[in-house]
Amino acid sequence: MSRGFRPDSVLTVPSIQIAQLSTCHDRRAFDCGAPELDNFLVRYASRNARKGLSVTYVATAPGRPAVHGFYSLSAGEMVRADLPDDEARRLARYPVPVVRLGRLATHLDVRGEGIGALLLIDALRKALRLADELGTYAVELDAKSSSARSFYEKYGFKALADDKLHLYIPIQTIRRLFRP
Amino acid sequence: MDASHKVIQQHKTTELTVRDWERFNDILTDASEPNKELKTALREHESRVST
Repeated sequence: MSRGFRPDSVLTVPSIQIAQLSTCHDRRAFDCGAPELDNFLVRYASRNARKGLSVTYVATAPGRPAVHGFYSLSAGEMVRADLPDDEARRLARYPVPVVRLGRLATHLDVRGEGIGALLLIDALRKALRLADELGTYAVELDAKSSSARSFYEKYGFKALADDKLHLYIPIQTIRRLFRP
Repeated sequence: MDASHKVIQQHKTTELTVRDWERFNDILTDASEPNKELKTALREHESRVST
């Protein structure tokens, strides 16, 4: 994950383009160090988009096909576990719509160039647009590791109590970021 | 429920424990201001990213 932002002069990819994954993009050489994420990009990302399960966006150098990073977005909802009747009456139980940020990853070759953070901001911007159109309370994600969790917490995501890799940021916070 | 509907339903619904449901609601109710790192990342995005 990103260590922060370096001066432009030392970046191998100073400017990037982020677009929805298409056949123009070269995914075969993508290597983020986690084979399941590489495999998702190569084998399942397009298939999931066709099925309506998730949409994947990729970062490339402008006009170049090689993928330097990607993330996926999908709709989700949170529900509370079933409870005995007396407890169920105490707590509200209604599904809460969320935008699910899945599988954000960057190529090992550009690690430390801030591309993970750029992808994250891009995802939050898209989530806010979706919230304006259909109503959404938060962006949620499942961090794959404690280091991934630290990356998201650095940007203000908060973890749950029982599942500490399950993280959220409220749409209200995102709205204040883009529309202060 | 047919198989494809079941797959989509499992994909999109997350069931939380009571404690996490309360924590989740606290996070939503007490939405914090975007932090310094997020604001820096936004500025970086504006200068480096085209769509």
